[in-house]
Parts: sequence; structure tokens; C-alpha cells
Amino acid sequence: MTAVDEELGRLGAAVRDALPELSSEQAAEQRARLLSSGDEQATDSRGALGRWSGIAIAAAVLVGLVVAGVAALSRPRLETLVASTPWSPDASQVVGAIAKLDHEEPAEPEAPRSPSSPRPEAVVLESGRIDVEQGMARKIVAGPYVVTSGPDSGFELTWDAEAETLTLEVDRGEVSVAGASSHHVVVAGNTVRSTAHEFVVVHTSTKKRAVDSAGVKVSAPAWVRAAKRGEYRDALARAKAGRVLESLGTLGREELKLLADATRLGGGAASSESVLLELRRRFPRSKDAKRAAFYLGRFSEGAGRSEDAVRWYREYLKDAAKGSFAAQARGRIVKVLSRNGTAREAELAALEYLKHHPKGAYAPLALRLAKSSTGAP
Amino acid sequence: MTPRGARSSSADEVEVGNVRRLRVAESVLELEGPALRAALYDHYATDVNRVVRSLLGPDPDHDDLVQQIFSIAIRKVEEVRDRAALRQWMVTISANAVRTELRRRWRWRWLRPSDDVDERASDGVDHEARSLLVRFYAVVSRLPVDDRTAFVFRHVEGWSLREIADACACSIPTVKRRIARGNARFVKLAAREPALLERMRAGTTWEVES
Repeated sequence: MTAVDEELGRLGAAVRDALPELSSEQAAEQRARLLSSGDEQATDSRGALGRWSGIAIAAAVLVGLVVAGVAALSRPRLETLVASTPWSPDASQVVGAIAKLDHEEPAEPEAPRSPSSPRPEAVVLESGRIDVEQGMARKIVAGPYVVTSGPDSGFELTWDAEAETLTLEVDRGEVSVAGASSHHVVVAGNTVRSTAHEFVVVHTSTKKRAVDSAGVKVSAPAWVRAAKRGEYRDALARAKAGRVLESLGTLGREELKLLADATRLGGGAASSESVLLELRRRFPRSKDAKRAAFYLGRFSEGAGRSEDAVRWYREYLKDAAKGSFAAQARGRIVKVLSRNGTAREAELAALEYLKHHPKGAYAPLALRLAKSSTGAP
Repeated sequence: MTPRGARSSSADEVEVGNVRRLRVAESVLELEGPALRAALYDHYATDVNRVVRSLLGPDPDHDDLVQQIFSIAIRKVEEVRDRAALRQWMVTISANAVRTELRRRWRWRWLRPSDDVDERASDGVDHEARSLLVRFYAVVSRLPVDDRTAFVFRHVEGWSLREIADACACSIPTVKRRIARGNARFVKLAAREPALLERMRAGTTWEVES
């Protein structure tokens, strides 16, 4: 973190403290107002802003009429962000671009989608900036340029219609830019600016791109990229499709860790144990192997295998007595033994927990167990 | 969204939080009509108000905007497919609503006297705090909307890059660029505000002296 970041963070904290809290009266008023408004009335509930909307609508209609008149007299021109070309998506699909539009209502995010949801394919950028996520759009028309990207590409595109300048910053993958008389491919890490007269690389990332022995660019597998983005369900689905789970021996430590996360958090608990066990077998001294012991304890506990759960938690504590999951592991041992162990085992685990975490989350349970075993009231 | 200084201590706690959020979302999504409106408000009013408040500052339109956000949510909630993401969805709706409002104000700024913090909306805030808010939001209002959003979420709310990316529906590299641009522009503009500079460098009067 830089000094500027620290200073701004300090200022931000001061601002946050200075901002008025939501008072109980204000909350009650907001709640009552929401409840008193029917679903059909609710959309127009804004007073002052509603008046602004009225002006905006009127102005937009006027401007639209003028523009339409001018356009009709000149060459056919795309006046909206979403063109009705054969490859144009439904307007509701261009969520990533909508923030740049002059909507009368806020751009609403799409409802969270399943990985199989359809993705937008193309938009027309009249002017302004658009961020394209992986798979979000494959074709963008900006003035005389046609920008095309593969499904794994991510980039930010700015089109200044007045200056007729296109700026493209590519984060991931490759992006093709076709102009009236030229065609370029821009790869990740590069920023280019193009005008009617020139096509200039204004910035090139110093990051080295992975290449294989033949010098061909290599990118991480799709499931790895999805896991790194935290899209675990998608990562797991891709890993399964690629039969990755059947060839764990070929994966490195980092990949095993990502796969363990994807299976654990992406709904593949059944596969997670084998990945975690592989991680511990192949990299027994790594930090990830220690954590794997804790997660194996969690799975065993969830599956009702109490003895295994306690064994794994103790295995974790043996390697990481002061680890970030140590309090959890000790507490869970207390919990598991209080249900399935003998009174003596539970008492010893409780005392051990209280010794290390007298004010921990499991302290009330541990205290109860310790007291009941000594007969204290 | 985790408030500053209240982050979960372990991945396990995060999972517990996720399970709890899913249960809350499921209980909300089973409802309809007034019960749905009440449940949505009861569970997500804090998050929505926080987003509106930090992006806009004390503002006379705050409550109207909150109403609008919930209205949108009520209309669209049936489309939510990933129930565990309902809270994130509410935050994203809120951020989008405020950004749209900020853009609208920017377009019509020539009809508005000022974007300064509203007197009425900062009732109950002491003089020093109000002075800070006025200066801070006067500078922030001169940032482009996207940069302002990322800047405020980062420094005022203390959110992670991932959380900001989710709220703004963009990638982490994009968030980084916006924050960097916001930082640079803010520092440049704040150079004309000695009080802000002093606050940045000397800390806050609310900090406990040790």
C-alpha cells in the first residue's frame, strides 16, 4: 500500500465516521413509505428526482426528434447503443454497457445467472467507455471500427466520437480491431489508440506472458481462470468437463489448491476430499496441506464421521497450533466430542480450548462442559 | 460487504456467513406483496442506505433514492436465480441507482446551484464533521462517476477490489484503474483544500490517542 493509499484510507475513515447514521426514525419512515406504496406506484416514488426525470424525458424527446431529423437527411447512422443489426443481442443482454446510456431509470444488474445463461454477443458504442468482461461481448462497433474479442478476452474500450479516437486497453486474451483500411490484433497488457491517421501502441505491459517451449502463448486452463475469479461452480463444471478430477496427479500445488476450493465451495464436496488428500500426499510440508487437514475435518464432521473429524482437527493443530483455524479446530473438537465422545474426552477438549481461547466462540459450550464434569452449579 | 475493521477471521466464518445469507435470501424470496417489501427492507436496508450514503454523501434525495432502489428490487426480485447472491444483487442495484443519479445530475448540473452537501440532510452532524463532508464531497463530485464510485467504495467503505468489482459489475483490473485514476485526480483537486490535506496527513480527530 502506498503512502497516498494510506492517506486516502485515513481520510475515507474520517468521512465514514462523519457521515450521519441511519437513525431508527429515518428507517421507520423509509419502511412505512415502502409498505404504503403498492408495487405499481413504487417506481415513481421519487419527488425531486422525479421532476428532474420529467425534464430529462422532455429534453431527450426534443433532442431525439432533432437528431432523427438530421439523421434522416444524412447517411443512415446508428443512434442507439444497441443496433438492430442481425448479430445484435437483445437490449437486456448488454448489461455491461448499459451504465453508459442515458436511461431514465438506473441500470439494473442482471439477476445472478447460472453459468449456462446466454451471453451477449455484440453492441454498438456510440460514444463513451465500455468494459467488456470475459464472454460478455464478442463484437463492438465504435464509429468506423469493429472490435472483436474471443470469449476469454476482457478489455476496456473508449470511443471518443467527437475526436474520432478509439482507445483500447486489453486485460485478458486477444482483441481484434478492424478499421476502415486496417486490421490489428491487440494482446493482453497492451493499450492502443487509433485515429483516422494512426494506430499507436501507447502502453505495453512489462509482464512477461507465459509461453511454451515452442514459443506459443499459453494461458491457464479455463477452470483455473474461473477458480481464480472466485467462480467456483463454473470452475468445477469446467474441471469436470475436462476430466481434471481424474488426473489429479498431473496438477501442481497451486492448481490442487484451486481445485480444492472449487470443489469445496462450488458444490462438489464429494470430490473435495480426494483433492485435499492428494494435496496433503504430494505437498505434505506446505501451508496448504495443513489447511487441508482442517477442511478434511470439516468434511468428516459434516458426513457424521466424528472420529475422523477429531483426528483431522488434531492433525491440523499438530502442524499449526497457532494457525488461523486453530481456534475453530479446537472448538470443533469440543463440539464433536460433546455430542459423540465420552464425558471425559469432552471435558479435556473443553479445558484445552479454554486454556487457549478463554473468550472464544466456543467458550460458553466449553465452560458448560467443564463445569458439568466437576459438578459445579 | 464487510464493514471496515469487521472482516471475518477465517474462511470458515465466511462459509458460515454465506450459509446464513442463503437462508435469509430463501426466507425473503418465499414471500410476496407487503411481506416481501417488509422483509427486503428489514434485511437489506442497512446495505442499501450505506451504499447511497457513502456515494452521495448527506443528500436531500437520499430517502427517495432508497425507495427507488427497493422498488426496482421488488419488481425484479423474481428474476434472481442465485439466491445466495441476493445481498450482492441488492448492493449492485443500489450502486447502479446512485451512479445513474450522479450521471443525471452531471448532465443537468447547469440547472442546479451546487452539488454541495445539503444542510438539511446533515442535521445532527457536528460542525467539524459537516465541514469535512462538504469539502470531501465537493472534491469527489468532480471525479468521473465510475472513478468516484470505485474511489468511495475503496476508501470510505474500505471494500476489497473483488467487492467493488461485484458491485460495479466490472473486472478487478478495471476497478484498479478506476481507483488509480480517482486517487490521482482526488489528490490533485484536494491540493486546493488545505483542510482535507491536513486531515489526510494528520489522521482524524476521532482517532484515539495512545
